[in-house]
Amino acid sequence: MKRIVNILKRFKGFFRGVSKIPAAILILLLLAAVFANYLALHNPEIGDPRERLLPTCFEKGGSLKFPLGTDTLGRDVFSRVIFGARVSLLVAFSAVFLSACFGTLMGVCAGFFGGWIDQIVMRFTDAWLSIPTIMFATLLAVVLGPSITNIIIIMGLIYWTRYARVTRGEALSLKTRDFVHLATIAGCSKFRIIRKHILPNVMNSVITLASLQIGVVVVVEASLTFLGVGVPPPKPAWGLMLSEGRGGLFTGQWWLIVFPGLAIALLVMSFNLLGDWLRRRLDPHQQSLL
Amino acid sequence: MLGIVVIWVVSVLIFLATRASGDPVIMMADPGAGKEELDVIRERYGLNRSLPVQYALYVVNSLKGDFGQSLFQGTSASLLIWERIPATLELLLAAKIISLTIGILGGVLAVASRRKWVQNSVRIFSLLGLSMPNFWIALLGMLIFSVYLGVLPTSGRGGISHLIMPAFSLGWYFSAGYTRITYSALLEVLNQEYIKLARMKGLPEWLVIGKHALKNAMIPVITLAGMNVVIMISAAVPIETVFAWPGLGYLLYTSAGNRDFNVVQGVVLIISVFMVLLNLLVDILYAYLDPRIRYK
Repeated sequence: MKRIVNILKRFKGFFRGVSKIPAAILILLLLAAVFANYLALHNPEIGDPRERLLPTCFEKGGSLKFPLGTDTLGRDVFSRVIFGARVSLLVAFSAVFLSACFGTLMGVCAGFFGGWIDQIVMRFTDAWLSIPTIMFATLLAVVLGPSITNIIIIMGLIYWTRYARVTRGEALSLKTRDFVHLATIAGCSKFRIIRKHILPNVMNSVITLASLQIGVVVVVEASLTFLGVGVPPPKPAWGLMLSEGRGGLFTGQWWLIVFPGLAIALLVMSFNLLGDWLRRRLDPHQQSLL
Repeated sequence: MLGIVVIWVVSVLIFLATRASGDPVIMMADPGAGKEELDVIRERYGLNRSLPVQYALYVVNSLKGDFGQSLFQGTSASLLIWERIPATLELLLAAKIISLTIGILGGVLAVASRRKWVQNSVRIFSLLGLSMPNFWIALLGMLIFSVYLGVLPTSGRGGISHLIMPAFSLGWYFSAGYTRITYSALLEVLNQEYIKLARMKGLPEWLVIGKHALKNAMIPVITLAGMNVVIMISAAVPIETVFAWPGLGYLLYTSAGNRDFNVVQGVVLIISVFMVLLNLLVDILYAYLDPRIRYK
């Protein structure tokens, strides 16, 4: 019991100085994603065509039954936005996790072993960085076909190079440190050194990079979905809602454009602010305006 | 030398990705076409050869600047691509100018002004740019300026009025990065001895920052601007799609949907070559701005 209290106390210290508003927004969206089944008023994928294009509840002709209006197929925009949080967060967290794991593995191996492994990995990341991401993702999406699993794999494939670059540099410098030499002398295998001495020491940068990357991943997922190569219909994804609602722009259905985009912007903004806070927390030497 | 390796890796990746994406012949032929008709089409476009042969042909032809026929439009792919390049360049250049102007101005303002509200507005403006997806900015812009106010056109390419919205919605995101980096670089430069000297000479503050400090603070900004170009080309794809801007991104989007291999390969290859050349240019510009690099 005492241990649990201690751990909680440590966590309280860890969250010192966190900005409250973005944290609150993120928690709210996380809760919305987890409890979407209970919060949503209607089925997000099935609508009633008789109730199509109803305006929001604070406009004339709208009702509290559909607080944010309905789309061209009569689906409730509010419910779709809530369920959209689930899709967005699922894709973002899985893709970042995937790319961080793969990139860290490649980077640590390249930095630690050096030689030709290093050369190959680094030339590969160089080439990777000069390929325009969305274009390449579009290509891959056409290859694999649109589905949530595939978009996660594609995003993971695109973003691993940044982790590889950062962890390679750190592994290079860690390799020359005394505790690694001592571990070698003590008879540790290379695998053990990587696992016990290198990986824990690169974790801070990986977590920082991941937290800064996750906002970008949300935006790129939304862009790909908007272009029709990401999450396929009729899933309630924010990018998809925007592309389906584009027609409403000229016929006066502004709510089809505003709310899904607002949800993306809020999520990305809180990710950005929290990522920046985390970076300052884990690496206090850096200063920045934002 | 490194550039050549990069281009080679890119070409292999692109080639494999496009060839693995299914059989285009089935999409090209009429729905009820028999096997012979499919074979005729394969023969005509060289799709019946083995993959290594197709790749070798592709490399030889690309070196000659020939990306083959577009599988759908019936014209040569390189012609289609060359037609689209000016539009994309125009958009990128305009977005670059807008983002650099806003970004550097924001950074300088945040450093020069000691007022809290100026710094906070710069901060909020950058944060908004970083957080809103660019195609959403584009859609909101259309909603406000085209639909409600009716002052700007919604799509196509023409004069300045067609350019403003796409360039701004593309550039906003990048201005945040420039603001951030101008700010930190300026703070660093302003601590140096020659700035103290300039101030002691009695130069007004705007001249100290504008003439002496800014030139040295520009080095990281230019590096970032160079690195950002490839991200910008990517980010332009949804923007071009929203505004039906007749550029490479829009072409790639439609071609990828049609599995038009030759056009897709050509676009991405041209962009990679362009990127390698651009990196070279940034290095040269770098040496011009910071003479210390020349002697390394």
